[in-house]
Amino acid sequence: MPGRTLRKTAPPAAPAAVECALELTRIGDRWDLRQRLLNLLAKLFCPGTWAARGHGERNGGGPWLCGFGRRGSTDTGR
Amino acid sequence: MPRSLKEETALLLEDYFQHRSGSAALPPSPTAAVLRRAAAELERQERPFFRSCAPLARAEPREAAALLGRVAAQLEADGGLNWGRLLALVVFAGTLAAALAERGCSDGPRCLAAHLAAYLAEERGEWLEAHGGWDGFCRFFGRHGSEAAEQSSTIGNAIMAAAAGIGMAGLAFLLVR
Repeated sequence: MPGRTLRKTAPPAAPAAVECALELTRIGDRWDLRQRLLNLLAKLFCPGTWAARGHGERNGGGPWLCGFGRRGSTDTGR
Repeated sequence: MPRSLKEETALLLEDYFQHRSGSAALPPSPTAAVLRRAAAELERQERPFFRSCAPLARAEPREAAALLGRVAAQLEADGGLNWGRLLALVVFAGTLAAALAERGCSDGPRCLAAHLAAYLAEERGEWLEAHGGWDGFCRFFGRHGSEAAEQSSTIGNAIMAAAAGIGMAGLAFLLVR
């Protein structure tokens, strides 16, 4: 239609879908920021652990935490 | 054997949806475990909203899949995708899947998993690949997903202990002066 631009990724959505999407966007963005901050804190507090995990290595829940308060956390031999 | 992104996504989503619907099976992979934990944490924190979404799942899985598609497109249209939005979308889909399963539609979770996997792998595959695929998801959420509260409290405790130490040292300094 002349004079109008079509949005490729956003077809007309029902109000419920729009409301849900808005709330999910807010939740997702908040969660994303929260996780980025946690990752940054972990990077600052546990740089060794960050590097030791290979930044991409999958170990399925191995001990990633620096070990504050964890028994035996200081004698891992790293 | 390497799987395609779509297959891997479908398997992860199906596992999460089954887990959400009460399955007691162990996670089939470390990535599935990370997804389960991160999603459970988000769902717990935002329970009122996700509960309010459950009635949106009609008895017909195709309707729920269509709604999911509209929400996904709308979600992505406003500023693009990020891992937090993707996780929120997965939890939303899990809510619909659980609601369908509760209404006796046993095929609902699989249908929604297939739809969302197709959307993520085909429409958002480029973004996913650029961010490391599900390995990237693990890197982002893996170390902190389930244990976020534990970690933040642990780090918080460490910071509080340091602050208390500095405070006591300052007080001692003032008293000695």
